Amino acid sequence: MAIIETVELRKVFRSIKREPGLGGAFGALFSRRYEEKAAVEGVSFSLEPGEIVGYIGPNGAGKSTTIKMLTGILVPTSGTLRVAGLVPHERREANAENIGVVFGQRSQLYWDLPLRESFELLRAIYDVPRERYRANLAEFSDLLDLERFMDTPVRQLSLGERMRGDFAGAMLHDPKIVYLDEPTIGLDVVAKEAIRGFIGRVNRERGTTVILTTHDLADVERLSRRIILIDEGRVIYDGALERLREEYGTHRTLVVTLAGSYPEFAVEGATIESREANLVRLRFDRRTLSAEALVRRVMERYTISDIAIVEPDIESIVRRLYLEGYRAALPVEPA
Amino acid sequence: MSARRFRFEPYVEFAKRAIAREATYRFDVFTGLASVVIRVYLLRMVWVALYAHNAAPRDLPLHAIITYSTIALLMGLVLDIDQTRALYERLHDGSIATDFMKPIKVPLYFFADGTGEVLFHAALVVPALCFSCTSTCRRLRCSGLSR
Repeated sequence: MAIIETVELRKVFRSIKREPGLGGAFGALFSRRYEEKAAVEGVSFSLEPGEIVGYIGPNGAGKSTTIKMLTGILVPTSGTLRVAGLVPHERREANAENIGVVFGQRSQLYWDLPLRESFELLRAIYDVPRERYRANLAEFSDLLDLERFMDTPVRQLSLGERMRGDFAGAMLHDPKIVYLDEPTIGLDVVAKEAIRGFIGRVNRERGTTVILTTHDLADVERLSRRIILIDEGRVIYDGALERLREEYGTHRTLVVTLAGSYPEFAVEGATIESREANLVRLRFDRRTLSAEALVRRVMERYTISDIAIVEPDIESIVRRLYLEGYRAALPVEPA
Repeated sequence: MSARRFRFEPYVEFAKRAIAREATYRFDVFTGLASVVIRVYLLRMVWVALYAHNAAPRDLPLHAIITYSTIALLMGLVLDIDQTRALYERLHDGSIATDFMKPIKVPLYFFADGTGEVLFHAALVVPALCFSCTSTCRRLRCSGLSR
């Protein structure tokens, strides 16, 4: 049974449209014109318990609006949604007990208080039994190395430390679902890896369902097998990450290091992506030309010292999807 | 649909954390303490000077006017909280969303936070109140200005 289910979810924001200047400001007091904008337009998906899903899209695509509806702080204009059996906006507080939220750009910790006191406060808010609280805190402290800054005020923590604190805080009450909004933004590689490891472990060991909203697709690649791609309020892809790579990653790159000097370099069926001295990057379509055939063609005409094939990274595929939009050839695959 | 049981504990904790937050900066606390004592002292001096050089109203002796104005000043300081501003700021920067994502009643959260601030301010005026009481009593005993 799905833990999250949305059907034709839609959210329209209504804003006042007024003329510029002082006249417009006064005019709007008496006569108002409204402008409607659909932030989310018919989003449907379902998630099984224990899934990690990358919910991605460009800025203004409707990701945060969807998350806000799932957390119950926004009421959908139309459509239905259920989160762990509840309609979130009808039972916001009950729904909040089932979820944990981490925002990369906003902290739920108390700025002036030590981390430990913020955790104590969260224990009181979520009514976590003392035993469970101690066990969770000990485990998270161990996993995220929190002990050395547990008594430091949050305002004195580095971004990486604060994020680790935020993660522990969001998981203290054993939520069924965790919404992560840009959880690794601004973090260094070591901190990112620690956070990713933590998310993966919590998902594996506790069966926590995770919705990961991010622009850093490395997070998605590392953690989830499924992605939901949203653009202009609509789901343009819902399915396996590998399938996306298969279907959209049609072009690969052959990196060739030439052993001799070849001012004129050309290979039939491939285009030169870049060339720096003896290092040439060739782009080819794997549907029309196999890597083996291309390598053979190169080796027949040139002497080479090294060769490598680079698979398309998910970032370039998603960039292409953003630019080209939804293609009828790629139907939305129910997970 | 079962109703959720209301719990006071989070709101008591919010109030306690608000007190702890107000007491974070030592410099603020001690200058705040000193400022209240000085304000009470100056207020008293103004009334003493006014009563010393002018005819006092018959039904309003010096100790009564000092008591009244001191209490008014201290009450103003104790209740000097601005939860509207706190709410506005949280709305403006969007951080109120995180409050609504918790299983709490948000208006009660702000009330509890404000209560914590009031309690902290109340503790802050105690030294000034003691100073005011002792100095007024001493003056009442030692001089005839109040009559």
